Amino acid sequence: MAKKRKDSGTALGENSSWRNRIPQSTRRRATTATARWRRWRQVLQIAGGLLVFCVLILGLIALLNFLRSHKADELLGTASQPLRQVYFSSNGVLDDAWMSRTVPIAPDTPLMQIDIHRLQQQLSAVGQIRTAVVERVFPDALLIRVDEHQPLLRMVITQGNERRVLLVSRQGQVYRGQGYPRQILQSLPYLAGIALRTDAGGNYLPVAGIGTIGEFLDLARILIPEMVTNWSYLDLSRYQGDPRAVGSEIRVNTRTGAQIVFAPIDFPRQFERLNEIVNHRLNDEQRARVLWIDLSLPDPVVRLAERAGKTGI
Amino acid sequence: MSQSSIIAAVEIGTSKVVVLAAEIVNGRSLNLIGVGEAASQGVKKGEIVDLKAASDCVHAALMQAERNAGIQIREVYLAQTGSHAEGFFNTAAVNISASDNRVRLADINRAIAEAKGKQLPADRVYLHHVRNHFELDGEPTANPEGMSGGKLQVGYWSIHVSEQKLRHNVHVINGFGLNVEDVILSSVASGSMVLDEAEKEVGALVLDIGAGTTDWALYQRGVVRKTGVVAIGGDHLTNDLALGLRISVKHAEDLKRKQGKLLAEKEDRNERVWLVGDQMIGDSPIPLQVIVQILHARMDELFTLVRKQVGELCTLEHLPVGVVLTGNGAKMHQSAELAAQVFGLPVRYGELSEWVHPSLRKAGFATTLGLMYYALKGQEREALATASQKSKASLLHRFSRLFGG
Repeated sequence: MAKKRKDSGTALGENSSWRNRIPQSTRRRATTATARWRRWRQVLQIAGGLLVFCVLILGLIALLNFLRSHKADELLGTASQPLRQVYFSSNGVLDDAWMSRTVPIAPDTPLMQIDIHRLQQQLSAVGQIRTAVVERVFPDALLIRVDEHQPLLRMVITQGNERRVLLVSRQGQVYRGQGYPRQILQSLPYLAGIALRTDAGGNYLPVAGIGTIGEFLDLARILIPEMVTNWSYLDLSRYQGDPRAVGSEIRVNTRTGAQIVFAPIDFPRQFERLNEIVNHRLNDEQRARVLWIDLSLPDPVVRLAERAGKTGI
Repeated sequence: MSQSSIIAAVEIGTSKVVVLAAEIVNGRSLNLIGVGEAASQGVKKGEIVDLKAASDCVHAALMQAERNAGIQIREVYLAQTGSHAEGFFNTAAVNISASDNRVRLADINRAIAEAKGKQLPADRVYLHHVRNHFELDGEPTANPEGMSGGKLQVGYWSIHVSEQKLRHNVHVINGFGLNVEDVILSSVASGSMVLDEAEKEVGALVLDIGAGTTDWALYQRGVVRKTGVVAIGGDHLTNDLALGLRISVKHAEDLKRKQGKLLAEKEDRNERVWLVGDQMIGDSPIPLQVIVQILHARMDELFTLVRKQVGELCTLEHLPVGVVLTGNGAKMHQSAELAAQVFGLPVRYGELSEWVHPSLRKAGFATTLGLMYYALKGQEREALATASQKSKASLLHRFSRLFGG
């Protein structure tokens, strides 16, 4: 704001300072082309900034309105095509047919309308499946990959009047096996002597210490393959899952009626002893009378029946 | 958070306009970020005589500096020169009012107001009031508050200029859309760059020889004691050569730069130089002595005028450091030798500090760099004042919290 100059001929002290006497105004008309260009540039910069700001705000408002007027599902659904193909892969025995029976997906469902999270949960709830991955393959396919448990043992449980065969994996997972060929199931020894526990949802909890049993069976199949085929069931009533626990035993019952007791440690030595006893110490007649061999003791103990019956190894 | 302001130092000289753009960070550090230069138009002897032409060249230099810096300038510090700039020393004495003879702040303010309150003619405005030291009962003192004495005296070197001439300069800057934050006399600005604090304390005379004017400032006891402007500069030497040798100003300028010297030597009598240098028709050789005589006469006149203006203070006793020459006009060969003869004092060329970028370490930038120095000082004071206000507020806040506030 321009200050009025004093009319008097002289001025005193601070009033005579140039600051008080010479008014300044940057709003004054630009006096040269350079200054005018600079002023226009400033105006354009401000206008440009405002324009960008307004465009952003309007864009945001438009986007919000659009989203409000269209349901997200519709927006997403129309962005994809109807489902035409489901690619299923597994490292086990489950196949496409099982997949379509277990988790049916209506054909021509828009790909984006398929709830892959729910689908993945449904698959993971199947005991035989360790992990499941479900992916959308745009524009019209679904990719499902599952990793199955490998069965190690089988067990029979009775619920009411119903007898059920369950499988136990190397991880101790107890599940109802589906799709396994008969010969695979028959090659699995039965498991006995354990009490199954369930969680709040009624699902079986894993059996502890099955990793050691898996190791035991694998070694047996390598070191004493002829004898393993005669094994009927493993009694784990004296094995609580900890191989180092005092008194832990794995009791193997053969189809011919004999029982072999193993300590859950140092399996190669025990198989070597068993081999020696059966093939070198006992003759055919004695082998047929074997009732009980205890390999868990420092010195193996062999008990023979008086005569052959439901005995033999 | 760091606060920065973009400022420009502008010197509207007779031969060229120089603009330096700088960023002052937190009122403490200064970074030079742009330079703009343009040949002057509409300026004679440091005064604007054609507002339109002067605006064109000043705005071009400002625009160049802005482009160079890549950022818009916010405020301007302006150098002022011209023979209309004058100064006077005014003292005021007051009797100490308190019964215990202790100097109160009110006494100091009374003395200051009286010393700065001298009437000026209606067409004059004050540019600066440079305070010299207080004297309490005749004894110099830096801060008399609380001291005992009967009479307090203070002196100010007050610099005033023609309101109309300054108004022109300010309006040129306003016409670019910028405000003038402060106006500083050219000699004071350049003096702050070529002298160190010890030299200012002991006593020195700074001569800034420009194209149209020569600004001088005399420093004693660390402050500006006296200033003045002589309306003679490098252009006068060129004009004298052009008139005396009847050649064009352009050729005279070339001759001055290439052959110019101020003291005649024996061999100069026989040495001849070509007037134009192209040795074509019209070009002719003349004795070097003639050129020396013309230049010597004008430069001697300039130094003599300055010596007269400085007056009785122009002695080795008052100015032990002697004379310090700066400005493009001082580049003339043997300027220092001639000045030493005229002033009877030691003379040296002013050098800019090491912190100045080598490309700017030239006599022609002394004034604009000096403006930057004042800008930084001004911002430092503002930063300190703001910090002190903040600390007071913080103290009050803490105090109020003691009472549950």
